Amino acid sequence: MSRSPIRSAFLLAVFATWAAAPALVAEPDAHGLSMGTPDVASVGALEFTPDGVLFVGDAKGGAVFAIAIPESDTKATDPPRVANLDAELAGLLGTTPRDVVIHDLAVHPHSLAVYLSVSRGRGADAQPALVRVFGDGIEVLSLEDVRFARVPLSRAPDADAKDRRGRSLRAVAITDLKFHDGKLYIAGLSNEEFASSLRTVDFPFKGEGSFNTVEIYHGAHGQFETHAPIRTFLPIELEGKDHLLASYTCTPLVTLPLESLEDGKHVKGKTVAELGAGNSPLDMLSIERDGKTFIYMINNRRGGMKIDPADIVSAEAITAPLDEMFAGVPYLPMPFAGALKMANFDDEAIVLLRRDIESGALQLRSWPKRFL
Amino acid sequence: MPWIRGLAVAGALVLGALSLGGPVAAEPVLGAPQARFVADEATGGWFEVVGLGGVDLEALRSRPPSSSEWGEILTVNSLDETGEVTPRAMLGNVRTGAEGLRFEPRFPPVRGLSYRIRLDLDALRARLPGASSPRTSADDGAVFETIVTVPATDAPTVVIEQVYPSVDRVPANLLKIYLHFSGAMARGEVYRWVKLYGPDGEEVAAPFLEIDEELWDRGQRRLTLFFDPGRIKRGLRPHAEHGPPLRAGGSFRMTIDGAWPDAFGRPLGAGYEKVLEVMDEDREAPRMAAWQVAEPAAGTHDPLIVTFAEPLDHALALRMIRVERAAGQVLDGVAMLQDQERVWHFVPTEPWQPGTHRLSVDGALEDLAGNSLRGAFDRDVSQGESEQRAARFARPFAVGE
Repeated sequence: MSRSPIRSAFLLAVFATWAAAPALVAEPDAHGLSMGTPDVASVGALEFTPDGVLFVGDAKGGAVFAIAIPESDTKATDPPRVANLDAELAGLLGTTPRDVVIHDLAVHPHSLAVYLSVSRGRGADAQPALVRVFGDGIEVLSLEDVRFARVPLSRAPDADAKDRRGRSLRAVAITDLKFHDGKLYIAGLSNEEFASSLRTVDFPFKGEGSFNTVEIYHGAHGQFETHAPIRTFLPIELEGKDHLLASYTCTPLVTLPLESLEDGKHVKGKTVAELGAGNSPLDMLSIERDGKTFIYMINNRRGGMKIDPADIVSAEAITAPLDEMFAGVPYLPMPFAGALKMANFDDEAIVLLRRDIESGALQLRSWPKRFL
Repeated sequence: MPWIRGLAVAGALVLGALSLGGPVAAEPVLGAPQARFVADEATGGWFEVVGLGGVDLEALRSRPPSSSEWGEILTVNSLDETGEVTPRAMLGNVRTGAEGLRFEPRFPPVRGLSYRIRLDLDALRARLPGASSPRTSADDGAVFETIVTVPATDAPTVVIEQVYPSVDRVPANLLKIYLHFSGAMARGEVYRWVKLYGPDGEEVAAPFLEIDEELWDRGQRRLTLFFDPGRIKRGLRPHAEHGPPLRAGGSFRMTIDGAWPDAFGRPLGAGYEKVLEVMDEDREAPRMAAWQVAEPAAGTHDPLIVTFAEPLDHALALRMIRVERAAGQVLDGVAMLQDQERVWHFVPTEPWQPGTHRLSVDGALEDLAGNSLRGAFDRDVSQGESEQRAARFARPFAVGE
């Protein structure tokens, strides 16, 4: 992942412009971002664009933000290792490790700084914090005077109409966010209607994007529809066409062609695997090595799984009741015990947020790709 | 060390009556500095170290140390659950006030939590304008350390106000339960506090869909629990393996643990128990045609009373039903649910006008089993059962003179 001098120069220029005249830039930039202080009520799912704009899911504020956080022009050489991440963050944030909740991590595409979305506290007044880990440094970022844009999660304002006591109780939990080819995909679940929704928004944000409800054939489910929420997903290319590979509670693995996501359409996914009941998938990534792509998924109860996209292409859709717990695409178990979130660091390594099984501490660790 | 001794005496004179946490001094000569927490509603409060008599605060204010220099002088660290000092100092800024130093944390201090305040007097002296070069010998090491505990909240204890559905008789494929609390609760690990017991007294394993993000409202006063749909829907493997969480004909008990912590970490104290008398499964979509509408009279504020054929989902029924004038204009008013979510009651802000009105309902409105106006929750696609994708359903009614 060598860095082109042109891109470095561009970043420097952007940074210089930003630093020179923070308050004067009122017009949206090429990304549609305007200068100001985003009113971020909570931080959850994170995702970077290839040029370093950060998407932050704010379920409490009912929005997704795109934020251009000025980033160092120095590139990290090694992935960070933090043995007691929760205790270190508890110190900085002035609380106890128990009251530090880490939601997601993402790696800046140029500096390779690791960004974390963190809640300080578990109450309704929990404070959001965006944390940057670079080498030995752990920094809580300020969101004052940054370039940003916001897109609301609900299409119609009356979807969040207040109840008669003036309180809006409806909220949408964002289960995952991914950026692919100019579009941001947002999977979410409401705390009132049980319906999975998949939102597609163009970036730079324009319009309200498209909404799809997604149904799947769930293994033994066969003939029954479901509105189950997508837990985690990944854009992948299958036979030259862009797809989303999505996974759900009880671990069906489903493909959806991106071209099927027309606004308002009810989409049926193709179930290509059943990877076990009593389990929730937590995160997915793909890595490319020696010209071949593999997909990795981590789970809350069933550890890590390695999947070959070629097996997804050749898989028959599961549309009939199953007798077995596992069916469809095969996988190789991976030693990712305790892993909660993961991301590509560079060509050589991935970074993992994990809970150490012996000490119970939250850790930031890396894994060399040559062993994956 | 005459300078420090003088400081201590002066401090003692100024602060004689204050007794906030005894200093744990490395040097016996340091008796006077005092640390305290100052509450402030707007910012959440700050820490102060006072009793620095002899320190020229005015001079310090006019030539303040840099933030990294302050980081050597005054630090605040939270203590973890075991009383250990956390490994990194709390983020914040130090200001010089009229009485002493003020540490303004970037994140508000946590109610009920203890913090270690550490003031390095040598480092402070070294930064004083006109001070001689810092002395480094161990004899001179003068560090003031103390523990300050932020007062615990005095907010009233949180109780469970209501659990919906409020009926006891529920279908075996009940989809969700709402828990309403009187105050904000703590997020995280909610599924350990709610348990379901079968008619035989045995605990039902993992009855709810566990969503890591947890389905709270913004104020964290209402939690939504979905029964695992895999176990409700026919033909699903979890359904086949574990059976549905609720079975018709039995009396189930849902318990809420009184140890569940609120937003301040205080346990609820009192637990809660709800008995669910489980009836047959409900696999039919609610139909507006089956509702009874009692029409109000024009010129009055009489309620429009809509009686459903069955109890409906509490949150959705409050949010998704509205009254429109024929022109499509939404009437303002107050809606309530009565008779265990079987009756919707609407009082308009302005008196009723004569003419045709309509009840307009979002197609996503569900009954207790997740069947919506658009269709049953559990449809057999192979048999051609499909959804009606209509956004809203309407039913006209007349307001007579």
